[in-house]
Amino acid sequence: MKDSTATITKAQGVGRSDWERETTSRTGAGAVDDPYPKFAELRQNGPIHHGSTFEIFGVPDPTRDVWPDAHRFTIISFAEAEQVLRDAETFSNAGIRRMTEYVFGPVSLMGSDDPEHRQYRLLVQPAFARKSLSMWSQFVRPRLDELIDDFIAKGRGDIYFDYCAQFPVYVIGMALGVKREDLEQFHEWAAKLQVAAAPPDEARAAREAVHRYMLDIVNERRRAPRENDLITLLVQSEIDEGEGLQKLSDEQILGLISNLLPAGAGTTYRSLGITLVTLLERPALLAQVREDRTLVPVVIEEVLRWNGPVLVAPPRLATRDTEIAGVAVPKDSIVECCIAAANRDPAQFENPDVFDPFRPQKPTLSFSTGPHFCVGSQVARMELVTALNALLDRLPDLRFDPDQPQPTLTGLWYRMPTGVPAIWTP
Amino acid sequence: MAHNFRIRLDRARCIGAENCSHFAPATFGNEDGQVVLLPEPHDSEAQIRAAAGACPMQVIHLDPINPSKDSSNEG
Repeated sequence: MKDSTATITKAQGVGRSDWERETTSRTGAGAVDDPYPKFAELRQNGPIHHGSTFEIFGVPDPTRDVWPDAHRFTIISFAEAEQVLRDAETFSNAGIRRMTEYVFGPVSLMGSDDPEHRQYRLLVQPAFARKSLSMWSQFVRPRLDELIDDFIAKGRGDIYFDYCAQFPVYVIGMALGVKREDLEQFHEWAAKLQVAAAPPDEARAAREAVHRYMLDIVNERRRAPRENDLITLLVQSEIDEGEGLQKLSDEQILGLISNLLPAGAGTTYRSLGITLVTLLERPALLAQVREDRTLVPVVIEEVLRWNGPVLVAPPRLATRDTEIAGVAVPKDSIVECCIAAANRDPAQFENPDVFDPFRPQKPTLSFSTGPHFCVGSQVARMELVTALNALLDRLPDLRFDPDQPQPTLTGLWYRMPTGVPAIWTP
Repeated sequence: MAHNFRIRLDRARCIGAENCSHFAPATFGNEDGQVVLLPEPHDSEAQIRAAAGACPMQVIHLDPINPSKDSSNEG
């Protein structure tokens, strides 16, 4: 365990500001760089480990504050992780509502079970469908080009902070109708709304600030609906909570926005950073991908399997005494499915530790599974593909900066690179 | 394309995540937020099996096609 945050702390500027550093260190950067050998070791003892993921690595477990004495289990294997994530009746998400309420507020997609969860889920899913991708993609490439325009002449820079970290929240903001001049402020609120990224009181204040800001836009869309617009879709949606179909209340709409922000703000840019480090470490593969862009989505999928941004799925709470792979799991146990470990399970993937984009395509748990499968997976995939293509188009000889230390991948709650210091011909 | 299974969809449980069309884009589509079979699927068996396995709600079932009556073993 070495300290990788030092590299991050040196960075300056937008997206490298205090909250970014804070976010990065609070989410486990530097605490653990390579968790995979430990998972391989634990796997020798079977698919389930008695203890939480954080505690495996000697990092304080945030669920201890809420449940000091609960049994804790970490699922290491693909098959059992899949079983738990799909069986939402036995392994409930509602348990973590209390833990994440400061981020998500009273409406919680992540912290609720069906049928409540399903109603909200089906309501927002159309905004993330392939058919609706233009709602998001219209903002993606223009933003990426604008970022590249800003730094291309310099010939060198840290593109993790200046590129990767600078577009997903911007895209969400634009899709929500945030004014351009307010995007910087919005970005800071969003960063604090990543789970575990800011102290609860700061996250709560950020959520309230987002609500105040977004309320004006919600009212505007009620008065003047727009085509192909996320907030318009929400104000026109109806939900039946036992009293017949009714339009969503302001509180429900703002609640859903508070759910979507944390999900998109913390994951996609980190995935892109990991993808870039992985490719820059493999110049031959990078050249191949540059020539054959059909490989772009293939590489991204393999990065998500091999070193995805989310190490562990949100904890589930056992609703009854049960058993996983023959191990007794008492009611009220906390069960954590370790996505990172499952995605390197040799029972599911041959030579799982090898980064091999040409391996046979198989399902992964990168976007989880079951009723809580990532609602934004198609948007995330589109953003990652677009962002990698834009770099390959405009910085064709992109390579690591030989004068900077080579970055490492790090992190426990979120996985990320320490940076992507690179050079190119302007 | 002839595969030795028939695709059956449990649409009522679909959440419209479209992970199936990520794996088998020429087989699965989406209508009104739920999965549909496209008219002329031409994905490989491996792609379709991956799509079924990757469905978060397990709504894609691949039922083996029974051998025809003539060759069945009646005794």
